[in-house]
Amino acid sequence: MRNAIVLTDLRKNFGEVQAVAGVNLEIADGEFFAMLGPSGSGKTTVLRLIAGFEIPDSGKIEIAGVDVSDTPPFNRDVNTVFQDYALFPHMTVQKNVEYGLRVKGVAKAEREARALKALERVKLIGYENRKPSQLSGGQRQRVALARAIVNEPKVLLLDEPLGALDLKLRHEMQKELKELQGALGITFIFVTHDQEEALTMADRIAVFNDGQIIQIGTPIEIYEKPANEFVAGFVGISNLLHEAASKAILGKTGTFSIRPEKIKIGSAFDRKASGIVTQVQFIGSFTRVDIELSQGDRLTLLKENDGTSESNPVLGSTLNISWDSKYEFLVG
Amino acid sequence: MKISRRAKWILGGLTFLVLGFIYIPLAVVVINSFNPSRTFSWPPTSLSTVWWSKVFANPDVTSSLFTSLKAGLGATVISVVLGSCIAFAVARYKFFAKNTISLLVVLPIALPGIVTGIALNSAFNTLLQPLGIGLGLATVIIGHATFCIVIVYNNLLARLRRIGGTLEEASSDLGASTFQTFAYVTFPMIRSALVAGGLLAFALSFDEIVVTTFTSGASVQTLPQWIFNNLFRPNQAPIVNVVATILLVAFMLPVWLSQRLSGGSAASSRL
Repeated sequence: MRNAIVLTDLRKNFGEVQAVAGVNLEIADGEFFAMLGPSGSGKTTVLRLIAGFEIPDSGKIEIAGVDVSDTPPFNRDVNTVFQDYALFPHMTVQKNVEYGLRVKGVAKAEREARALKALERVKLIGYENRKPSQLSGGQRQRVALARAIVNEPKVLLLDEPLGALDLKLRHEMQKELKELQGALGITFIFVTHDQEEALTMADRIAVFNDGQIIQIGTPIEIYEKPANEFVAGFVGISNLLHEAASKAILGKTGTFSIRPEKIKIGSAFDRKASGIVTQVQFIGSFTRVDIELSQGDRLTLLKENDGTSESNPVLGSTLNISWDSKYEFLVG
Repeated sequence: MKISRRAKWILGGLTFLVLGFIYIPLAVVVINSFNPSRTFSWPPTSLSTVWWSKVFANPDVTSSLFTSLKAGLGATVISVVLGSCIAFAVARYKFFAKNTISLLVVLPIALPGIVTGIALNSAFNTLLQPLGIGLGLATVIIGHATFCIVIVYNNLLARLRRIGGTLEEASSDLGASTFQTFAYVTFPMIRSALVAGGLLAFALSFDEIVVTTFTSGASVQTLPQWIFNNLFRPNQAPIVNVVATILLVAFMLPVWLSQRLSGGSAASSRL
């Protein structure tokens, strides 16, 4: 498959701070790609480098096979959906969406038709003559999307696109973004610090920390086989077994990670351990149980409340647990 | 905060007192400009426009009015051009000694006019005189521009900071060239701040007298200077009232307009 974006040893410093410290990345055509990481990890700077708002100190940026490292933003075939939407407040919704076509000299009739089509795609017909200030946050988000996709870019960049929306709207937009990407077939690259968002939406995820990519993989790979302790801790709840516990329970050396839903109460599986229950939280469909092993590590397990198992464990009691050894992974 | 009824009455009364103290004398000037009596007998027995017609027939008044207009326009044009250049540089770019330069630009508004006046006067005399350029309209315009720039700069800088850089980035991202971004996005967003700044600058220049006195020389007389020179001549006193009224309107109109345009954010220490 052709690559939409290729980044080669990309570096960018802001004064003393290394924002991007040697990033190599290939994103395939038509991929829904997430850049996940804590704030300050360099993910947004990489996005801004691709868009052209920042100039790299060194390294190469290729869009659809063309080196654009020195190309200004207006000559790059990418469009951005900004975190704060950056809608032009003095223009109507229609004029906002038409803007990209207008500056490229597209005739009035054509750009009006294309803008309406883009607004239809984001389900915002009937709002053409409103000003951005007369719209809700979710509607502004849709205008920002329409304004970007109307130009039919090769790549759409989304900077924390759902960060400002409330939870319900966010779930709705996650679904719609996914559908939109499927319908348009263009490459989406979105930046987020929300691991759940990255896991549910992306085809592949790059996990960032300290200006570098720690791991690239599908959501399942990232979740099930975290490359190191950082990824294990950042994506999902982390259960880490350090030296002493690894030796005693697994008979191996190193730090291992096990996901909480893989740990079961009882001794049905080949890895067996026991510990003191330190916390029991009823969450609804499942109960979260924290136990402390005699070697000092704490494990969290999620007990499904499906009616098949007995009542919840008692605080302070000793609990026997087990898991399948194929679910434990060396992370450090 | 809740205010007791008594405090409300007292504060209301004080407000009226202070406003009355400022505006009643102004109203007297305006009314007296229509008072046909040469000695301003009060209350006026009748109203007439006799002094108003005399004013427009007075060549000194009309020529000094035009001088003031020319000086105001000249200072405004210079302030808008230079002030916006500095505001853009400070708001959008990083460069050496940015904060110091910003302070040096704003400083003239805080300097006493008399200091600016003396400094400019000696500078003009020692630097321009040998080149054969004497004090006149040009030096008045330069003198006014030194503090008018601050008004435009402050207004525009506040606006540029408020709108931020993402709109310009968005425009560029959508394919607009630097010029298109300025024409379609930046300029429409700053237009009202520019007009407000320009109007305030004009108003500031129009009523200026201290710096003007030191930079105008003998040949040039602005309207405020004419008023000052004729205030104590009994013959001219009625005309001074008319000119003061004209100035009042000419001065209030741009300030009122600029307040409306900038949404009240254009407060300036000097006005």
